[in-house]
Amino acid sequence: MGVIAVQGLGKTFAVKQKRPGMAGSLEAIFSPSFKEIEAVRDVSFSVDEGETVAFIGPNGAGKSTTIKMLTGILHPTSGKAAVLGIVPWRDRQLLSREIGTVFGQRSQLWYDLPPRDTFDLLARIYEIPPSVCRLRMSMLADMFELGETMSTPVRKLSLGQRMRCEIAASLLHGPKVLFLDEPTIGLDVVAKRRIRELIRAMNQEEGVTVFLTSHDVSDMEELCRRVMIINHGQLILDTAVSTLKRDYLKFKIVRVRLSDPISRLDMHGVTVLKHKRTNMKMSVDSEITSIDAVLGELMRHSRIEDITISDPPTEQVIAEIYLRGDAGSIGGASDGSG
Amino acid sequence: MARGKAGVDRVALGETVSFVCAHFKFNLASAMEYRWSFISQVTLMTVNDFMLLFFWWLIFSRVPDIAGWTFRDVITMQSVVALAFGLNVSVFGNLHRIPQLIARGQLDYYLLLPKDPLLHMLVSRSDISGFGDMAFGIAAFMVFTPASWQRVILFLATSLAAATVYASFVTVAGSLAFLMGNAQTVGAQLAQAMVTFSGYPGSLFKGAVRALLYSAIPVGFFAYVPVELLRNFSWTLFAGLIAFAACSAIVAKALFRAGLRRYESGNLMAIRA
Repeated sequence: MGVIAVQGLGKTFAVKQKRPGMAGSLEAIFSPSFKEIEAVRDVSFSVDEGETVAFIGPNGAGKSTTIKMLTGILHPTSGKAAVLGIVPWRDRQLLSREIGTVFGQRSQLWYDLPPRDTFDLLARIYEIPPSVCRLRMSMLADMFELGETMSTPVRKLSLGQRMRCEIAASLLHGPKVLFLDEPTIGLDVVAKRRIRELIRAMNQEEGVTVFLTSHDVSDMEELCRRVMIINHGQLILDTAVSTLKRDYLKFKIVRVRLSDPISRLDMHGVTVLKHKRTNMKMSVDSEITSIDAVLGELMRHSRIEDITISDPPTEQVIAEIYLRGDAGSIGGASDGSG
Repeated sequence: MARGKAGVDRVALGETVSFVCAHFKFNLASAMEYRWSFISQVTLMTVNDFMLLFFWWLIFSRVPDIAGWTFRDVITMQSVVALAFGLNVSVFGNLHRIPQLIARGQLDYYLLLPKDPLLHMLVSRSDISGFGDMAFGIAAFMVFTPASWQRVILFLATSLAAATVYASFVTVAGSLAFLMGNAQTVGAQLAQAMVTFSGYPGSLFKGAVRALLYSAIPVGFFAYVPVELLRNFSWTLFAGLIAFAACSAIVAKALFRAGLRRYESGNLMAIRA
């Protein structure tokens, strides 16, 4: 049995409907009407021990709702789930000793106090013996390069420093499974990379199973071996990251600002998405034309003043999945689990 | 060696007290980061409470009693209420924010840790002005009423019971948010009703209002019964107060727990301050 086993999981919210304006407000008081929104619909999957799994989808796809059911915050409307053999919403406190959680949009660190104080408080909450706690804190501080950060009030930390502390705090009690909900949200490129390295290191050194939600495709690419894509509450793809990269992430989005305007760029495998004088946005199929070749061609006409290379947004990947008729191909991830 | 049930309960109680104390110290340290804010809040609340007592002194300088209550009875009531209220807002600083935390989906943090989410949520914040209330309550009782050690113990015991009644009532009122979504106004008005009625001699209220104040809005157990006990102690009445406080706490905990099934979480950005 997997570390995480989910069968037909569903969550429906009743959302109050209201017509605009004062008349709508009055009507909502005397005769409220509700619409049922299926945030998660019949989701099934299994995650093995030590896997790093990305749960990817656009905003509102049902990622956070799923993770909240798996951590016991929300009760599902239908279906079954077990994490380490524990039903999360039934034995939430028991499960909480075995899992770690990081919500990118929520801080568990006390804003006015140094992270070390929060760590001490968490040690009391998890009832970690002082000698064990000291060793663990020292190990995490070294690994996450926390040093002086541990003694600085959280309000004075950068977002990247804070997030390193958040993840270290979630690992204090030695969890077997780590749930990360948008851990890199709002971080710059360097901080994102560092966070990904640290998560990978914890997975490799301590065998922690990582279940990560993100709407950033790069999180999945750099960190995980298996990816599940959710859209409108439904799991539409469960496959190895390598397969996804081969089939859907062969395009890169390249944005350049040139010193001199160019009239056009004709290259096989390059689609110009936007072009306004010196600014150009293009999609490059790296299997046909390398990024190097594209930049070389551009530099023959002009100097490049600025450049950004990124993955296509999740929405575009999902559109591609539907376009290719692959939506619903679940369970093909065995080659990617690791 | 296996521990008996009583031993296990004692350990659990000890851990709970230690957990509450740890948070209290933590909140205090957090508040002291802003030294002048801390000092001014505590001082102003103490002065504010003494001003209220001054107005009662003005009234009682013209009349000997109000419906059988003397100035000393009113001071006793104000002392118990101030200590009970102060204890609640300084130790259970999130008490009055329950509807807001539920409606905004901010219980997630407490649901992810291996502690009772209600207790954890309550102790995770401290309103420093509560220290002013507590200082006033203890000082007024010691200075203006005959304070033998037996009376001090009884004062502390009844204040703790009153604090439990108040916390339980406000928790139940706040838990309406699980049903209503936005229950901030209702919760605040019900809590305010407790505070308002606890500002007047209990003997003023008769008939249906009195029945209401000993049931649905239990101001009687929050403010009037402690005064009666400190005036004419009776074991029966004392046992009644303790039993009511314990039942209130059990009901509040059960309702909150039941409400969690309806909890919908949320995605607001949140910090712990």
